[in-house]
Amino acid sequence: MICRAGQTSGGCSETETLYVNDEAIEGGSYFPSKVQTLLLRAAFLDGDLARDSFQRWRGIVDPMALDQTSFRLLPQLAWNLVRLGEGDPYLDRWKGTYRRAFAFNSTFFHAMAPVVQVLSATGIPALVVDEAAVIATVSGESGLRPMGDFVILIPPAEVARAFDALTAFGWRSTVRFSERLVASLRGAPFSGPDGRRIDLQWYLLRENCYPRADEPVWLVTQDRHLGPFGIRVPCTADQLLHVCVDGLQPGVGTRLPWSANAFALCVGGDVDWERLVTETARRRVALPVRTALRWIREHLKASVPDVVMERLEALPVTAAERRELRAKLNPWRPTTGLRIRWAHHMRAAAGRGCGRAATLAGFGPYLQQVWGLAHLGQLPSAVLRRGIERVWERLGRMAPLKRREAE
Amino acid sequence: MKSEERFRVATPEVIHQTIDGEVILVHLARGTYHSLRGSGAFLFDPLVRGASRADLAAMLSAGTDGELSRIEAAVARFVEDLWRDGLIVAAVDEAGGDGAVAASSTPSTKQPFEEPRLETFTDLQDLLLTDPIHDVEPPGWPNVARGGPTKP
Repeated sequence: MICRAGQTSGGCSETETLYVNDEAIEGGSYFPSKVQTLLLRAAFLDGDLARDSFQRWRGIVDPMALDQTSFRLLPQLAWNLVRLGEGDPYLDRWKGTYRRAFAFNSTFFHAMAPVVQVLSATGIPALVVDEAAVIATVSGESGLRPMGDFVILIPPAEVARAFDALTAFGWRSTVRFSERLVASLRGAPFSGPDGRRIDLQWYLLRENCYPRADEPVWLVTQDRHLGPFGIRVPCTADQLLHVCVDGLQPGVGTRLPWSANAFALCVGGDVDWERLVTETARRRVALPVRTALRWIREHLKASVPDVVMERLEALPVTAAERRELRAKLNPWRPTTGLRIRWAHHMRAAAGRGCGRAATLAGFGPYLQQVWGLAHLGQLPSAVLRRGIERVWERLGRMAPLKRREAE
Repeated sequence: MKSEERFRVATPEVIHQTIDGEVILVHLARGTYHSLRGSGAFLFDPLVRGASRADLAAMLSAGTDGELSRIEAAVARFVEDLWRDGLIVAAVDEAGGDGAVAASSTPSTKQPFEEPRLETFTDLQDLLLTDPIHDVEPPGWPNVARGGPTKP
């Protein structure tokens, strides 16, 4: 039976789960749906497990009506099917997605290289992080991973100079530089003269936005290449940690799933597991890291050592961290955004050594900064508006399902 | 262009990748996309590792049932096309090209001769905007369908 992703159909029980999960993924849920998991296995694994997963996936989906996340896995699927000697009437089209991703990424990197060079020429240390770093670290086969964002990490002390350098190079940000900006946000987007975009970050994780949070990242880096261009990226353990934690954010539905990047780093990235455990503990992100690694071990058979899992499971987790994770896994609650902001603010305040009173007093100005409000008086209406928008969006997403159920 | 002349990929402007026996190339400065067809993918690796046109023709002649004169002419056209499109440049004073590259790549049984061909797409930026599933002919991107969505 052919069931399109996002549809329900009598006798096809998997699609009902898929529908709910897919809706959640579009809003920023953490786990791939059952059908996406089959695709991940077909795209990354070997032998009968990959072949069986592919056949099951093909029996469920309509290849002409894939969700965005699945679409982004097609180059990797094509590459693996060729390797496995598996045929399909759509294989040539899927190979075409590989060709296109290779061409797109190549031109994208070509356009981004001067930006990195401008920062380097100004004497600003710059690391390429996120998807481009994974491409450079894992295999250099840029056709396997269609690029979404280009993210550059700089030290927080260099933000002012980086704003000046990028502005002089013709790039513009939607936010103005200020010391409060550096203290409140992880980074800021910049647009280039040709409309391309980069994210300039001064902290690696939203969960650790405070001075010296990323000092260990800068101590162990790797020289890699994106096509012909030399770049520096964090060590593989730091990248894996970043992928696991950053995947768990609202609004990641159009990117390659975190699970694909985490699996690729585990398999091909030479992970320093000791460092991963140490940094996970120091950054207090045990919950997302072990949740992510548990998932890729169970569903993608990733080779995460038992002793590593045991050490991660043994790391202490606070009640606040549990509340933070629950909020991220329920992106449609009206208060989710506020709860996540509070969690990040508390973490940043703790990193700066603020007491309870200062943390509470600082939350308003923090929200004002991250939401771009002119003054604190706008805060109550901004909170209310965001809550209503979330409910409205949720109702909008539920409506098609209810209509189909009624039919 | 002499038949003993040797070449290399025109890096860093040109980058290339192989998928399922097909070599694809992007010229970053010109914004062009290329694909090597026929025996082109087979010849590309030895070519950019220093094999001359004479080496390549000998290699194809040993591995296929084509006449040597026809093979030599086809190889000359192929190399000329690659050079004209800026994908390869002369490898001046560079190591390689000892012929051993070509000899080690020769298939053990004779195959039907297929002319090496270079396909060129000059409008890469436009091509990148097309939907690689719905808006392409069955061979897949970058072969854009002119008459609307297609199915295999």
